[in-house]
Amino acid sequence: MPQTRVPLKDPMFSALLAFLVPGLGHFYQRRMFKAVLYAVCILGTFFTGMRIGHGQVVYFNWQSTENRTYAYLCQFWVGLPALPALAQAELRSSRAFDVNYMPKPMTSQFAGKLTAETSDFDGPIAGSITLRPHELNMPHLWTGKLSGELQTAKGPVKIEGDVTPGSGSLDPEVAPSEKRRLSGTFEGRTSEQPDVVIRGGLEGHIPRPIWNSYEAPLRDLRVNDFAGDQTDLDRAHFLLGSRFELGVVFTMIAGLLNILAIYDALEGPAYDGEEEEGAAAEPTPAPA
Amino acid sequence: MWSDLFLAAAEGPLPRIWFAVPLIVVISLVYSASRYEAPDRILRRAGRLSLTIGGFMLGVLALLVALSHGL
Repeated sequence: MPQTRVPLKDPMFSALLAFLVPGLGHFYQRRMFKAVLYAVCILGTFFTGMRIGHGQVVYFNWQSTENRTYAYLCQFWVGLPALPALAQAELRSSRAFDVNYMPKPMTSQFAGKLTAETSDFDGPIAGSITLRPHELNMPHLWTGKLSGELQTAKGPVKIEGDVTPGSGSLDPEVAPSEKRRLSGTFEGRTSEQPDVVIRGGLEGHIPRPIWNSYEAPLRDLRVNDFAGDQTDLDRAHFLLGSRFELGVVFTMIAGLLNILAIYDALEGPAYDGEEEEGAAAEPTPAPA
Repeated sequence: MWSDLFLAAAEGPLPRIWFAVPLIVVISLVYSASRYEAPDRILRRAGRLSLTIGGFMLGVLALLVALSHGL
């Protein structure tokens, strides 16, 4: 280990802190300028990449040779901000990635659109939906009870009804989006005209908590190549275009830069004090 | 927030090449910080490195433009 004039308080522990949170190791060593510089530059680059890529560019997938996320080997070095990707991929039950999986009842806010058989009742709909398995031991056959407000051409009306079991689709519990899409056939009644049954297609979403969306893996398993199935990865590329690659590059560079910061916390700067490169070219002025 | 500005730029008509500028600055700052300890020296070296990287990239761009002229 080279001698350094910069006091490196407990270098191994500092390096661990620097790995976990960029800049934290230097903060521990009381090297404040560097702590701020590393934190702003590395975390700023990482989260900018995440924003550009709509939160879908950092995830871990090591299932088969063609689906491995080699980019994560670089992103990993950002530390804590990138580690949830490992947990999402490795610690989750495979059922959490299943479409239409609803093992136990849940109530959530819903926002979407109703396309009714009679156009009088077409319009945006928002309210509360309770989802539950239609029958015990059949978690993939769900039903829902919606209660909310429908915006019709004549104004808002209170509406209540059910989503027909097996008629629609519900996104997986874990996916890299804050919106969990839900669709199905709806049958309900309004408070103004309780004797009129409204039928139609319901499309919308319920919120997905951050612990189910942050760095969740993009599934790339195509059920049927010839049917033109879109996987999560296909959809992300289609929606984001070059922003997907841009986000990947930003987050990868952030991880690689933190390797330099970790090494700096462990060993100190490469050119320290008198050893600094170019010291002869930049002489210190003589005292007057 | 600057990431919001980036997001707006990414979704707007700004050419993607401009995303290289903040990356060059960040890479130069972090690289120089890993080399030196004094803040003024870090900033001075980072400025020089930014110009070097930017100049090199502009040179490559000019070469590619020249080679692809008339295609």
